[in-house]
Amino acid sequence: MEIVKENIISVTPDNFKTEVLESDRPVLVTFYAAWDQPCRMQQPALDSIADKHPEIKVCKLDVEEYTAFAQQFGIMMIPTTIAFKEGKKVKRATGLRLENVLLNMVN
Amino acid sequence: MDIIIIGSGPAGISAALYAKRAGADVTVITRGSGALAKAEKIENYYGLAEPVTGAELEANGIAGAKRLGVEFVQGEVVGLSMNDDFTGLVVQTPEKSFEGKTVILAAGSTRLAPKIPGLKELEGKGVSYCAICDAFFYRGKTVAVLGEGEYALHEAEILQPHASKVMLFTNGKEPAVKIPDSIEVHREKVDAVESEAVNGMERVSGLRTENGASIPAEGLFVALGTAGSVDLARKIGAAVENNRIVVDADMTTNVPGLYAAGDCTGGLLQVVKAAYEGAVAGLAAAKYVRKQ
Repeated sequence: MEIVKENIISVTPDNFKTEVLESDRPVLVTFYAAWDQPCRMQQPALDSIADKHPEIKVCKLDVEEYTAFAQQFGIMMIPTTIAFKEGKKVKRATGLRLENVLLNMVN
Repeated sequence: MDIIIIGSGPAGISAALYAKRAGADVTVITRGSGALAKAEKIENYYGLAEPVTGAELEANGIAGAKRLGVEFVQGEVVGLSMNDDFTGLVVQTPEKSFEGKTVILAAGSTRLAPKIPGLKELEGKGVSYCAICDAFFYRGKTVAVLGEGEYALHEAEILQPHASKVMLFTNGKEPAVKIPDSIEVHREKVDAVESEAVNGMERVSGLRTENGASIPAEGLFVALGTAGSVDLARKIGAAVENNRIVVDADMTTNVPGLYAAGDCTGGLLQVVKAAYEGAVAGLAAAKYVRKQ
């Protein structure tokens, strides 16, 4: 099991509604797999956003553990990051993205 | 190996010269001539009393590096990954793998993908550029690979254990390598990538060919020609923006031990820029090796 930092929330089908859809902050959810090299390299940008931007909620969802759930979001490539605001998908970025690109998704 | 350089153009050779002189053990893997050899005349470059051909400049560069003791390997790079304990990088050619403490990507810029409607729009929705990253999503499904050479075959072979069926679409070309019978080859041109809405989300459903046929496929992996620096960067998780590898002033990427130089980092597509970046990358990689 990969260590997820305290300020990055590991989301599952069970807590997705409360953590993401009902969040009062904008949310970035990165769909990832622990073994995937581009996903590993995406991690520092997510850590940095979580550390520097408390106004944004940073979440990760393991596509290998929750494959069927990830497919409801049409995830076909990892990492894929989806931005949510007030329970709605607002932006989607596929592949490894720089910190500023991820930040712009919720700004 | 200390430093593996992919590409033998002005960026790769300058990197080799500076890294070798800095005391590192340097190997250049090259598939042969690149963009420089196609340049009819090189002018506007320091020290040239008369213009020279690109091929001549390139040959001189390689000869100079060989004189200094740089090793050369002829081969087409089809894969790049971290080693198992994340202490080095592994460069794959169809024949064998090479492990280095560092890798410098200097294989030029990738040609833009052909303008097939749907290709760009469906990226991440069934169109992928990395079989090793995304094969997982196609368990038991039918997938297509767009390409005709070693690189396309390599991607197809990664997909085979996962997918129920792997097809190769050469987009009007003859396959440049022998394709095993287990891969269905389509030589016709691809007119469009087709999609359908599943649960309100658009995803790839197949390929429409020049003779009007719609061939069902749930995924399309793009592997045209040879793997360029940007293709290799994507596989290992190096940041790429607008088809350019993102580097800092030392030509380092976000992947430890991975550097990039020359056309693949964007900016001027000029020998002088490639040579400068190669020199910086070579010195930075040599310093990284010393610190290890």
